[in-house]
This record gives sequence, C-alpha cells and structure tokens, in this order.
Amino acid sequence: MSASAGTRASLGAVLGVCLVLLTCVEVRRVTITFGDRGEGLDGFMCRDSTGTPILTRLEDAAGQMQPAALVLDYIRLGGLPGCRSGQVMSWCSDHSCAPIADHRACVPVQFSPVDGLSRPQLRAAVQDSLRSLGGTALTPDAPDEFVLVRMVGTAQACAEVERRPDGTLPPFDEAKLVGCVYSCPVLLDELDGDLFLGFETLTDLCEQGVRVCAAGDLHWQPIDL
Amino acid sequence: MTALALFLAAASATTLGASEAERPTVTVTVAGPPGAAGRIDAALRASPEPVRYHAAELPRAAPPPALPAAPGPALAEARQAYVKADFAGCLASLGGADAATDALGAGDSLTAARLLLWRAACELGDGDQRGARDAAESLAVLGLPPPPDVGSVSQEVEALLARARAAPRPDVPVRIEASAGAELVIDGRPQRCATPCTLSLPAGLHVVRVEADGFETMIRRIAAAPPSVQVRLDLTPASPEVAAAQWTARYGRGQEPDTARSVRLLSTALRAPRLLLFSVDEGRTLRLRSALAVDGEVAARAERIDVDPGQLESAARGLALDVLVRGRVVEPAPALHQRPEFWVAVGVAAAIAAGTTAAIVLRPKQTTIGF
Repeated sequence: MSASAGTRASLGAVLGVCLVLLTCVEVRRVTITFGDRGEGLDGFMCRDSTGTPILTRLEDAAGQMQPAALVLDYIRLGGLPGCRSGQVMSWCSDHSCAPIADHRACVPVQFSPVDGLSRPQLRAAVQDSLRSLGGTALTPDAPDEFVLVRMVGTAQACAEVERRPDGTLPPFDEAKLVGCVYSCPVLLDELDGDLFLGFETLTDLCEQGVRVCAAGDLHWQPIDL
Repeated sequence: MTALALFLAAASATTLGASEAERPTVTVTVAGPPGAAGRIDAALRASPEPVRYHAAELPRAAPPPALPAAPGPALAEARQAYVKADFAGCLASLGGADAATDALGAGDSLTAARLLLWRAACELGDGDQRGARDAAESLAVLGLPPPPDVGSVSQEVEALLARARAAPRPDVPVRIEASAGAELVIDGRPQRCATPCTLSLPAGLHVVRVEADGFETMIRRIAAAPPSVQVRLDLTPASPEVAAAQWTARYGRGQEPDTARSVRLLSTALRAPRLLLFSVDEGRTLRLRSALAVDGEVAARAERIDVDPGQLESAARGLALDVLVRGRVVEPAPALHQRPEFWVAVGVAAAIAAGTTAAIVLRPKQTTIGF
C-alpha cells in the first residue's frame, strides 16, 4: 500500500467516523418532578385574596372539576441567572425572558375536587392528579440553551393557549390560572434525569405570584388593589 | 492505532520491496558441528532480509599438490652411464641445466643436489672443466649438502666439490619485495622474514620461492651479484582451487576459521564477493560467531554466547542481520521519525483523534421532556 493510498483510506475512515458520530443523535430523557413529597407543588396550592384555592377555578357551576391544561413553556433567558425568584426577576428586568413559542406544549389533566381539603390533603390530591400523567411525553426535543422551564396550570383549554399561526403565544387568562411552577435556569441538553419544578412562596396567599409566574415576560407585577 | 498499524505494514513492505534482481547475493558457510549448517541455512533462507543467501560448503581437505616427479630414473640412468664412462649419455639423462633449480623450486633439495653432483661428475668426465666447475659452484652457492651418492663419484670430483665449497664468495644484500607478508623460501630453505625482506646471500644464482595466502606460489631464479640486488615479485592472485587448497592446509582442521586471513582465503575459494561465515562452537550452550567479508576483507563481526541449542536459528538470523547492516550490505531501516510515512500516519492519527473528539463534542443531542 502506498503512502498516498494509505492517507486516502485513513481520511476516508476519519470522515466515516465523523459522519457516523454526527448522524448518531444522543438522546436524553428529562423527567419533570415536583419532589418526592410534592414539595414543589406550592404553586398549585395558592389561594386568592379571599382564601379560596385557585384550583377551585376548575369547578363548573355544578361544582364538578373540569379538566385543566398544563402548559409547558421554555423561557429563554439568554444567560444564566441565579435560581431564586428575586434573582430571576432581576435578570429578566433587562433580558427578554420570553417563552419560546415553538416549544410550547400542553397536556390536559384532571384534578380531583379540592374544596375543604387541608393543605397536606390538597398537596396529596394535586400530587396524585399529576402523578396520573406519569410517562407522558411533552417535548420531543428541548431547546439547547439556557432556559427556565415553566408549567402553568389553567382552566383554559389547550386549544386556547397553543401557538398562534403568526408565531405568537396567547397570554394566559389570569382569572383562569390554577397554578404555576418553574425550574431553576437550566441547559437541558446537559441534563439527564429529573428536573425539579417548584414555586417559591411562604404563604398560601400566593395567587399574585402565580400571575407573575405565568406572565409573558416574568416581570415584576404589582398587585391590582 | 489502526493508522500506525497500516503504516508499519507499509514500511516493512517498502524495506523488503527490492526486486529479486536488486538483492545482493551473500554466500553463507558454516564451520561447526554436523547439522548446524543445514539449520542455519534454512533459517536464513526463511528470514526477511533483502538479500539472497547462497549456501556453500567449506573447502574439503585435498591431497597435497603433486610435486614434479623426482627424476629418479634419470639420475639412475645418469649414474649407470657415468659408471660406463658414457659421459655424454650421462649428461643427456640429467636434462637441461635448469633441472636442479627446478627441483629446488619444487622443494626437493636432495634431488637438486644429486642432479648437480652428477652434472659436475659427468661434465668433468666429458672433459668440460668449466661445466663441471659451474655445477660444483652451484652446489656450493645454493648451500646444498653433498648428497649420499657423493661416494660414487671419483676423487677428482670430490676435490672439485671441496674446492668450490671452500672458494671465497661475497655475500650480497638481496631485497625481495612482494605482497606484504609473503613467506620466502630461498634455495629450499624457509626464511625467517616475510616480504619486504632483505637477505644476505652468497653471490651466485639462487632459487626464490614466494608463498602467500591468496596468491599463486611464485618461483624465480635470481642472480645475487655485488653490490646489491633488489627484486620485485608481483604475485598472481590465487585461483579458487589454489585458495581452497591453501585454506584447507592452514585452517581445514578447524583452527580459527574466522580470522581475517581465513576469511579472505575462503572468499576466494568459494568465489564469494560477500561471504558470511558462521562459526559454531559446541558446549553445554553454543557460542556463535559470524564474520562478514566483502571483497575478501572482513567488514563486520558479531558474536552470541550462551545460545540455547534450540535457538540456533534465531541467533543466526540476528547475527546475520547485525553484520549485514554493519557491513553495509543492506541499509538499516531509517529511524521511525525519518520516514515520511510516519508523519503521514501521525497526521492521520491526529486527524482521526481530532475528528472523533469534535464529533463527540458536537454530537447532536435530543432531550425529551416529560413526566
């Protein structure tokens, strides 16, 4: 074998290896979790200013729980802010922090009645309801950039909140929000395993926080008094 | 690794890629126990060196070269003719005047002395005083002792011989030049000096015999005449047959067959421009020596000691390659870093490594999100 022939053969091998590696996609699976004891579900346990759980917004006139829509959004951060809500708000004050329209996903979920439940009972009920979604795939290919994963619960149907033909996302109806949780800033392509979603609040009266969480740009929003 | 393996295979093929016609022929001969030659020959033929090995046997002991037939019958006839006072017949039986020096050149001093004795006697009987004196002079100059049959000649002849021996004659410095180290035999007597050599010889005609390994033996008559004589003798290179006889006589009994002289003789005897001589000394283990001669001169030597008898073949291959490289019969393979193929292989390996790393780093990822 001559040197040039060997070189050609070796370069061919290099290209072949590269081609195989490049065409061989590495698949990772990220599973959304709210903690073993549902500690991340505080965002679905908020009450309004009257003390009524906002999940009761799913009840119809006859008191029956209607399906909720769980809307998964990837908020483009354009960087890596801290994880605490204050840090995220501060970051988003001078960054767009808008959901990536192409990656919105929505899945309906049926919550059990929550009226009259104590807080632990309510957490367990919400956890059970969401546990019924186990194995459900939401996004086949997550964006490869720093994002904040947000899940908004709304009494709206999925059809109402899906991406418009013009590529924009319809804002949520704040009156129909039933919960919201979000993750720390994360690069999903570097993650393989569980992704914890939660909600920072120190009180049940956190409807305003849910509203901020579900907002289009994660900006600080004063309470409408 | 793959690229390096390809490179090494290609490099080996390149080293051995010389065509059959370009491969130098190396004559291999083995001095050692029976069977060793066959094993070494088979091992070398199977080795990958880019040479053609040609096996040759060591010259075998040959009968000593036949001396010229001693003119015994002629001497007997001359003696009978002398007794019958047939001096002309006596002289005719003795042949030419050079017969005595011819016999001396052949190493037969006795015959030479007898020829001169009877020539002196028959010349004297025939009335040729001068011829008789010349023969007696030659006997004295050559320093030959009177032969046993001196008692068969007349007292007049004995007196002539005695006068010739007693006659004063000057010593003449004779310088003899020939191939360095040639041995001299003057008038049938070996000399203790090798050429170039200056000897003091009595004035007169002498017979010089010059012997040297690798050359034909030369016999010359020289006339030592005052004040001095210088003789230049150009020896003729020996024929393979003569060289074989010389090697057999000197080294045929196994004494130091790999000395420079021995190897030079063997090169001529075996008609081997490139001769690889193995010497195998048997013991509990083997001692293996090799000498490579190129155009008769030892170009390289190597030795292995404590060779396991079962490893004779591999040791011989190693020794052969060693001396062939050091004797410049084959070029050593260039160092790895001096081969272009090496750097091509390194470049290809680096490209593969870089490509693989890049491909791994840039490998597309698909992350699915779900509950």
